[in-house]
Amino acid sequence: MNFLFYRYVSVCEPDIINGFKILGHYVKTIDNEIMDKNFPAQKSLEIVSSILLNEHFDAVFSINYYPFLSALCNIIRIPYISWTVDSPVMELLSNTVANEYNRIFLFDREQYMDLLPYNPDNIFYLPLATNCSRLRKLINTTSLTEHNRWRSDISFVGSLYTEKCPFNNLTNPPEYLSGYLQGIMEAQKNIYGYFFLDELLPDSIIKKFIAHTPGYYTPPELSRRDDRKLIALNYLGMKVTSMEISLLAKIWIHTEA
Amino acid sequence: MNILYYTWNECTFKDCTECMKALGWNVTFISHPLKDYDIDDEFMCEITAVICSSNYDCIFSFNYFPIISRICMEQGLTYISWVFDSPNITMDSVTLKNPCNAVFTFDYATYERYRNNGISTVHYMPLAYNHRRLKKLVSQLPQTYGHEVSFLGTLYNNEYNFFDQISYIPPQLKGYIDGLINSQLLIYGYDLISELFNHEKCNELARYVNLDMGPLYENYRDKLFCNMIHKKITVIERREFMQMIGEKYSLDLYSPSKPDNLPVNYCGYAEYMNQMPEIFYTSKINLNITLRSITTGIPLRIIDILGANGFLLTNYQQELEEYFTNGIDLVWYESREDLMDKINYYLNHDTERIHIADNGHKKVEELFTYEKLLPKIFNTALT
Repeated sequence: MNFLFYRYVSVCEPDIINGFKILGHYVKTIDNEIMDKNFPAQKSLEIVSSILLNEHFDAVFSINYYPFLSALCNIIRIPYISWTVDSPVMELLSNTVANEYNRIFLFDREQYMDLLPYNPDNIFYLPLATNCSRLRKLINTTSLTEHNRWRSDISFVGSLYTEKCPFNNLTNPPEYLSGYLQGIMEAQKNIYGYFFLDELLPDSIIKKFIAHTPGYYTPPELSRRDDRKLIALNYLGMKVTSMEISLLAKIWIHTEA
Repeated sequence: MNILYYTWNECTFKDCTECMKALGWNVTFISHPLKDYDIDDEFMCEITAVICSSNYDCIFSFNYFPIISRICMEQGLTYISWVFDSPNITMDSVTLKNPCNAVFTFDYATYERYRNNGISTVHYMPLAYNHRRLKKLVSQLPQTYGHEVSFLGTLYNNEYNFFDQISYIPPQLKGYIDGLINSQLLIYGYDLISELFNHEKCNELARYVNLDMGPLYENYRDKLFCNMIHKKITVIERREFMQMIGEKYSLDLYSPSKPDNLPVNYCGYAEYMNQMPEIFYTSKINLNITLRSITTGIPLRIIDILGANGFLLTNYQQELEEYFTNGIDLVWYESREDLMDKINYYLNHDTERIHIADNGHKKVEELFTYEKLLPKIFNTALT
C-alpha cells in the first residue's frame, strides 16, 4: 500500500517509517514541520492537498492528530490514520475527530474511553511499539567507550516539566484556590493507577482557575471545550509529574525531551 | 483464670463474659461509675478494695482506661484492655507504657504506629463475636426477608462532628483540607489524611484550634486533628451514600438520631443483643461504611453482620484481604459506581448472595469467636 506520512518532530517516526517499509509498503514523507516548527498550516494544507491530488495514496498517516489532515482526507475520501504518543493531545478536541475517514489509534485507554463516543466506529485503542531489531543492533555495535559514557545505576530519561509546565502561569490565585489545588495534587501524587484530578474540580474552582491563568488555552473554533479535563491533565497533571520528578533530583538524569 | 472485669455497659459485655465463663474462667464484675478517666480517688479506693479481697490474675476492660492502669501498677496486677474503637483517645495517656499493660487494638495501623513509637505494651487482635448465642438466635428467626438494603450506624449528624465546629480556618488551609477530603472520598484502603495532613499542617491548624488534653496525655495533637478530618469525611460519605442508595432502592436506616432530608426509611435505634442480629439476618444486603479513622482494621460491625449470617457489602479495608475473599465470603466496593453496581447485582442474585453470606459466616466462626481469640489475648498478656 502507499502511505503519505506527514512528519513533525516525533522521535518515533523513523522506526514507524521503517516498520511500514519492512511490511512491504511504500512511504512518502512530508517533512515541512521537521525543517520549520512554525511552518504555516495553510501552506502545509496546500502542499498535502496537491500531493494527494497528483499521486495515489491509500492512506495518510501521522503521529498524534492533525485536524487539517482529517478534514482533507474526508474531502478526498481516503483514510487518515493517526496514532497518539502523547496525552493530552489538544488537537483531539477538534470536531473533526468525528470524520468518517479517520482511523484514530490511542495508546492510553482512558484517552480512548473519553474519545470513543465521538466516533465509535473509527477510534481504537493501541499501545505503543518499539523497534527491537534496530535497538539490538545498536547495542551490539556500540563501542565500550560509548557504553561507558552512558553508564549509570539508575537512570531516568524524560522531561522534568519544570520549565514548560503551564500550571506555573497561575498568577495571584485566591488563597482557597491555591490551597485546594495543592491538596488534590498532593493526594494525586500519592496514588498510582488512578487519575482522579478531573473528578475533583467543581465549576467554581474551574472558573477561578481560568480567571487567574493568563494565556489559558483557548481551543480553536469548531472544537469541543472541556475545561475540566484540560485543567486536570494539562495543568494539574503535568504539575504533579514535575513535583514527583523533582524528588528524583539526586539521580543522574539525562534530559533532552 | 480469675478475672476482674470492668464493664461500662459496653455492647460486647455480655457476649464476652459468657464466653469467658464457657472457657472455665472465673469472672468478677465491677461497674463502679467513673468520674474521670485519669484521676478519681473514690474509684481507685473501691477497685483497690475489690482487688485485695481476692487473688485476681488481671483486670480486663474493653477500651483503655488510664486510671485502671494506674491501679494495676500500684497493685502489681496485669491490665488487659481490648480496644474496639479507633480512635480510642485514652490510648494517648502517658500510662500506656506502664509495664502492667497489655493493650490489644483491632486496627493494625494503630498497633504499628504505637510500636514504631517504641511502645511495646500495645498488641494487635481483631474483634470477636459470641458464636453460640448468635447461632441459637438466628435459628429461631423467620426465613423471610424484612429488608432490602440496611445500614446500621450513626451519621454523626450531631455534636460529634467537631470539624464543623471550628469557627475559623484561613482560606489557604481550608482549601487544602477540602482538597484532601474530596480526594480521600474517592480512595479506599489508603489513608491520605495521616500522610498529607502532616506535622507542619497540624502546626498551622493549631493556631486556630486549641486542643489541650493536659500533661497526662502525649503525642495526641496531630492524631486528633486527623481524626477530626476522618470523621468529617465519614459524615459526608455516609450521607451521600444514604442519598444515592435511598433514591434507587429501599434503604432501612438504623441510627441513634433521625437525619433530615434523606430518602431512607428511618427505623430508629437498633439494640445490640437481639434486634441487631435479626436485622442483619433478614436484610438482603447489609452495608458497612467504615469510619475513616479505622485505617486498616475490621470494625466490629463487620464481625457482627457475618456472625449473624448476614450478607455483607462493605467498603474495602486492607485487613479484609488477610482473612476473607472478595465475592466469596463477603463483597467489598471500591468506588461509588462499584457500590451501586453491586447492590443492583446482589439484590437480583439470591442464590449467590445466600451462598456468600454462608461462607462469610463459616469464616468468622473459624477465626473470630471469643472462644478462639480470648485465650490468645490472655496467653500473650500473662506469659
